[in-house]
Amino acid sequence: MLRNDVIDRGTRGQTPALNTRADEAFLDYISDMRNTLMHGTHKRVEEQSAAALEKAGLTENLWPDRVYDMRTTMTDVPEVASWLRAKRSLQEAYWQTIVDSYSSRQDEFLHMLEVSDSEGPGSVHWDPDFKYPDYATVDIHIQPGGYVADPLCGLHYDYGTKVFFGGMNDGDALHAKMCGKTAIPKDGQVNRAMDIGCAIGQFSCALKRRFPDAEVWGMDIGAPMVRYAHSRAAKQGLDVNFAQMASEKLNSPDNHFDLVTAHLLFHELPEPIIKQTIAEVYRVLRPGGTFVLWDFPSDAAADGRFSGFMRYMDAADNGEPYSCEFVSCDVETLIPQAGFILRYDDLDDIARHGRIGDKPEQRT
Amino acid sequence: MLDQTPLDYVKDLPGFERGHPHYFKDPMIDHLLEIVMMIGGELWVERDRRLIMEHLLESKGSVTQTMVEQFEPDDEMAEKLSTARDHFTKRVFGCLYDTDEHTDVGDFFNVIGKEG
Repeated sequence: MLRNDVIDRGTRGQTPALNTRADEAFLDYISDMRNTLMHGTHKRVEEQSAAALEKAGLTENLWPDRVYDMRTTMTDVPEVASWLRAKRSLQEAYWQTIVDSYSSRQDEFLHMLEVSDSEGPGSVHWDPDFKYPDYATVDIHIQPGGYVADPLCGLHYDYGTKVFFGGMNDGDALHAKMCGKTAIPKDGQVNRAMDIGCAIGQFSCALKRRFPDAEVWGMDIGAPMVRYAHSRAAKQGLDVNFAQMASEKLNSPDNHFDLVTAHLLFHELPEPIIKQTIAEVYRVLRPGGTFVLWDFPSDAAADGRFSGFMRYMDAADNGEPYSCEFVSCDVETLIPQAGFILRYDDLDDIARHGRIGDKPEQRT
Repeated sequence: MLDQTPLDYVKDLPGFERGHPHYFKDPMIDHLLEIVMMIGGELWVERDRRLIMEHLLESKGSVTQTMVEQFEPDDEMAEKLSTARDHFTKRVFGCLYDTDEHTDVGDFFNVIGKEG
């Protein structure tokens, strides 16, 4: 592809444009291909998979003991194997294109982060000597370096999710929508809000827009993520504070926040960390405060064997190693076990409103 | 440093290392499918550039590399490019595409934040 390191191509919404028109066009194609070959063939693949599993007698108690049998059975179906091939190849292609495209401007982007670190509005706090726990060092979504290893992974994530959502999240529209649906404490008071696992701060910024007078914090374990999140928020003129923290070890006072949100974080955490995180959220919420967890449905709500298989394949082949743990950990039980009162326990209500845990006024 | 037990099973998952997962018994079929998809991308890049150059020549009377690189389509041109891309992918890969019923990426958010 043509490379040109000097032509300023501006931004695409909040996101710096890729280095060349060729890279941008290639990713437009990848995005369309995801719709055509993955979403567009999902129904047929699902039907053929179900038939193959039925024929092989693989109908129940598949996870975790028989997932390899499932994999063998389903990849014997050419359409399923093609679907999985397309998904993996397109995923690898878009990440590599993004990393390669931005790499020739790496110094410029690193300088942008250095300057932004000390500028407002808002702030960012991170520790150059932070020791990452092993669980956080995998290449989530097979993004090269995951969320912690590449100093520009926030930038890569920004464009990568643009491709993932096929343009539907441009302007962070989907985050704004989800934030608008997010429950608040029953007394209506939101003076301090915290978004854990904030990545590049899209949901944190949506919180600030919804609660402009509130002190809003975005926390993520990845220093590159919070640095980019701060830079991105500051460019929008949003006074959001970002900090590098593991969700299971929040450096915040007890009884401090009115609202804590976790948007698509929990399926990236192993079960022991999930339990620790819920306990930490309980600790930092004030009595009467509310925890809102947006994430995949639990296993009991899964809509059939195919969805279970696809979750496994996502775990195995798409850098989501802990998602099976999350959907099978019965988080609807873990939240009340930590002391919360679950506002909804009906699975359909949970699908609409998320898992909402209210911290009692007095600990029960 | 948090003291977590290394999750070795993650590294045993078949897709942990880039390039490892194969879905067909003969990995060459995986390679060929990937090659075809990537050639499609390279073809589209050339077509995209030609459409932009034609547009610039018609509207500006000249075209330079900088003009192409800095080109930002208006709504009409963006729709033209999007339609051309859609036709291109469906023409090349249509044999795999189910035209009767399909989901789209928006369904992702209906799973975790159902309307109603």
